[in-house]
Amino acid sequence: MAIERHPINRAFYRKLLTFYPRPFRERFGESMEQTFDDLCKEQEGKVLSLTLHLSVDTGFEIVKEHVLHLSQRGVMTRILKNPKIAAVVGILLFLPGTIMFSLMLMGIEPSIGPLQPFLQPTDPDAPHVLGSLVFLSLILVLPAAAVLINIAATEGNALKGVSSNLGLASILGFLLVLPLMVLELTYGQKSYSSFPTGLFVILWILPVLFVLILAPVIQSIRSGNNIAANPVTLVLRIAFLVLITVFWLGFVNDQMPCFLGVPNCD
Amino acid sequence: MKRSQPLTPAVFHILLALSTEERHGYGIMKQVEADSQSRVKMGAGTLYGSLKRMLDAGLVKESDKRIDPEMDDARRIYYKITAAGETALKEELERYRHAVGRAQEIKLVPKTLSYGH
Repeated sequence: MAIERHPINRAFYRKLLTFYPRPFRERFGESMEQTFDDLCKEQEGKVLSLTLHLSVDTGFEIVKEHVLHLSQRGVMTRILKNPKIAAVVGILLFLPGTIMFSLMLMGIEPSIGPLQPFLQPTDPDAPHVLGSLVFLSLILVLPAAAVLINIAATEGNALKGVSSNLGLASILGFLLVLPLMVLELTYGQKSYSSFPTGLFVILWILPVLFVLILAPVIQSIRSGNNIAANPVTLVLRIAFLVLITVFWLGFVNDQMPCFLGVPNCD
Repeated sequence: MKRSQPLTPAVFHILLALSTEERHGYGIMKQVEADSQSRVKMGAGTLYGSLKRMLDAGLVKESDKRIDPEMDDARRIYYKITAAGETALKEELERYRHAVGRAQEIKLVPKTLSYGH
């Protein structure tokens, strides 16, 4: 039987299924494993490529199910439709960044654990440029995510659009960051003690958000819809697109010397 | 009567596969592949994600869990199309018929492709 001949593939796929939201996993997990076994039996000679294909497909669906799960539970919708709760959530989202900037402005260096290398340069006279940008991005990313979910909740089908654009956005974001990673790996290691993974994750997340926010506008234009039908949404989208562009270019501009291996860059 | 929204390709193909008989997950995948002349190959993630949304929307329902005599002795959950699913499928086919009709009007496709001829 294929199950016995390919225990590693099956174990891998079973592990992947554990990333589904619990209700989905409990409802369909067994059937999905069974279908995987059936496909393994059918494509006996191509189990590795089959596993890869199914894993990519399942991976995208896991992300989609988590987004839908959040939406269907109505947690975000309820939060964002209630002005009081929305205000509290907004404050909570901005609070960490606000505290950090206040501390920085007052010249107090807090204990910040894993972010310490970013925020407290070894040279005490060096400006906290990267740290500031990291926090500005966090402040940007979290509300942007909230806006995306809000737009999805209010526009109905937009949620489906977000999840279907996620793969494309991830790939485009990665392609945008790839040349910078190559530069960093080729030249930059001279000025960094280790690979700045966090920086590249942010450089990747920003364009992903950019595409996710922009894609529905392009789709609306292509399908001949009036993009100004909901002016508030449109203005929000444009504002976030501009902010993301400014921050991304600011990041790259600031870090380019380090990517190019300029000594003593921060 | 309010018309349903256009169906996604995955939902359309699943409804089409279930329109003739009840099938389990793997059976649906195989039927979709056959119906589309191997042009559509649905992954398990897409299939069960779509089935979940279709179950929630009342387009399909679980039938029962039984052994497929043509396969092994494992019991599988079968799915069947509902009345709402049949309506949605008919409306989607009607949309296709309209689209083909329009394409014929502007001479994009030959008359021999006309629906029902």
